[in-house]
Parts: sequence; structure tokens; C-alpha cells
Amino acid sequence: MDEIIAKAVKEKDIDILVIVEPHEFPTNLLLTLNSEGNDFYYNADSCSHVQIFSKFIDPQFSLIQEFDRTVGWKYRSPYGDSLNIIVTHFHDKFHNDEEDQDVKLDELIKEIQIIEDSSDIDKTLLIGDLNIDPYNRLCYGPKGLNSIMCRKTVKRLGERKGRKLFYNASWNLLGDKDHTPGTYYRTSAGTKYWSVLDQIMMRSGLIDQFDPSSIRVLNYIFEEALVSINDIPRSEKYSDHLPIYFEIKI
Amino acid sequence: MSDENNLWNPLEFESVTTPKAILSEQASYLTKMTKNVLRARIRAGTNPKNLVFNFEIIAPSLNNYVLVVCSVSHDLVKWYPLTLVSHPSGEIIKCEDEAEFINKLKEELNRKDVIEAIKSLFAQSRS
Repeated sequence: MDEIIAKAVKEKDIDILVIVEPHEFPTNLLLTLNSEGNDFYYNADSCSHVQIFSKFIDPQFSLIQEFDRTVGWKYRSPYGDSLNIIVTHFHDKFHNDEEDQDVKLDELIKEIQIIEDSSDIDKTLLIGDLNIDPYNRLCYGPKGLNSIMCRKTVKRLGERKGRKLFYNASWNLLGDKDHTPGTYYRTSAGTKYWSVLDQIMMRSGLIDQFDPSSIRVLNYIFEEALVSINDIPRSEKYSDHLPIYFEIKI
Repeated sequence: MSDENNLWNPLEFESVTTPKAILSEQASYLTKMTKNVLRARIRAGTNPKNLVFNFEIIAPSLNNYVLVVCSVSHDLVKWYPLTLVSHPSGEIIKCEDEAEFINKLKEELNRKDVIEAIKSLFAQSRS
């Protein structure tokens, strides 16, 4: 697993790598990432649901706040620009009914607020395994993450009912036009099979620095397929979630 | 702002090797040798009379565990003689000049108990 992740990092020239729900201790991946150099660091925090590796350390990349399933970091560019990076692993619907998810989403919203209030930057990126689809009301709803599909609307309005909007770039990952139809596949009668549980959202101030053409689900790394011939994630070998790649210019 | 009000004589800053720079160089070497699994850094202390620098080794995978290897303390202007404090032994070592400081620092970094601690941090970072 470490080898394929390191290959992806090299192939895509990735600066910040986020692993959600990791099953391995971080050091072996760090050593694999650094097998041909010393570019990467493990940005440690006490959130066991998330591991972050990057080419940056404190003070360029520093911890803002950490919670049980959510963590906030701040990246400062040497050229003066900065952004908050919030990573979360939200509770899944297999262990939580709708009411549980409602309550736990309120906790996540508070944690996002605390992280943003603790930072002097209004550019926030929210990424992670949300365990809900972009079209779930917990994502788009004004009482949810307030995260909608249109960049222009988010830039024009900025907020809704007194709460800041997110632009949800993950809407670009729905459907099978250019790639696999999501990041997660589940075979079960009555389901829609594919979901985009792994999401990328950003506040209005960051939208112009996001390259919408860059976002994609990775189903191949070099010649290695992360999916079967039917485009289903090879969970027995890699992960039941497919990775997402995107670019922010900062 | 016009320079005609400037009361300062011209200031010339020479390129010199400070004790802190010597420590920082060794910190970089350790970080590189461990492939960033361990990170060494120099942290300024808070002694009002002298400048104090701690040589620390951090294990990010072990919840940012910090091992302080040694400390250096010297006058703001006159760097030597400086005081090197060994944290494993508590020994206070006086270094009269840069050459002596480099020698004593080499001994301190390569102490058996320091190397064992580094190896242990590295091993436990992988398990």
C-alpha cells in the first residue's frame, strides 16, 4: 500500500498528502515517501482518524486545533498567502442513523467554527471522508455544511442565513463521464452503488485559487489499476475508497 | 523617510558562525539521517542574562515526543567561553572557543545514552 501511495505522490508531484482512516503507523509510509530523498514530513497530531504528510513543517505548516475525528492545520506560503486545511472523518451511516448523523454534524460544524475562529485566515479548505454524498441535505442544507455546487453563487453570496457557504467541488466527481462515478462503491440492493463520500469544499476566498479542471478520482497510478475491470475499487488489495487529486495554487 | 535624520554610523554585519548555527547544522544532519522520521531542532530558551539554545529531537509519530540532548548558553555579545550542558548527565562543560565547542558537542551528540535514545525513538516510531 505504501508503495502505491508513494508512486502517486511522485507521479502527481503532490505537496500535501492526506490519509483518512489510516490502518498503518505513519513512519513506514514516511520512509517510503522519502526513499529517494528527504522531501516529506509527517505532520503529527493526536487525531487518530487522519494522517497528514507534507513537504512543510512548522512554522510554514502548523497545527491549529485537533479533535477526535477532525483536525485543522494552517499552511503559510513563503510568498505571503495562507490557508486553513481542515480534515475530517465523519461518522458513517452504517453505525449511525440519520438522527445520530444530525447530532454529530452539529459537532463537526462547531469544530470547523472553532478552527476558523482560531485562525486569522478566511481561506478554508475542508476535505475528508464525509460519509455522505454532496447531494445529502447534511452537505448542502443551510443547517448542514452549507456546501453548494456553484462557485459563482458562493462568491456572490458568501453566506446563507448568517453562516458562511462552502463551495463543494466534489459535485464535479459525480457521474461517469470522465472517470469512475464516485469514490466509493457498495453492492447492496436498494442502494445507488456509487457515492462520493470523499469530498473537497472551500470557502469563497479560496475559490479563485482552485483549479476545477484538476479535480479527479484516481483509478490508476502509473500502470497499476486501483479498480477492477468493472471500475470497482480493489478493496482487497488497496482501499474501498478511491483517492482524490486536486490543485490549489497558493 | 530621509536618511539625513539617521544618527547611526554605518553598520557592517560580518558573516560569522554562531554557536546556534553550529547546533542547527547538526540538527539538520540528524533529520536527514533519519529520513525525517525524527526531527532535530534548536529552541531558544528564556534566560534573561544569556542566550540559551536547546538541542531537541522530536519524534512526530510518538505524539511529538521531545528529547532534549543538550543546551548551550552564552553571553549576548561575547559568545565564548560558552557553557554546554549535557542533559543526560547534567554535566556542565565550559568551552573556551569554537574549536573546543565543536569537539565537546561531537562527544555529547555521540554519547552512548544519546545514541541509544535516538535508536529507541526511531524504532518506536516504526512500530
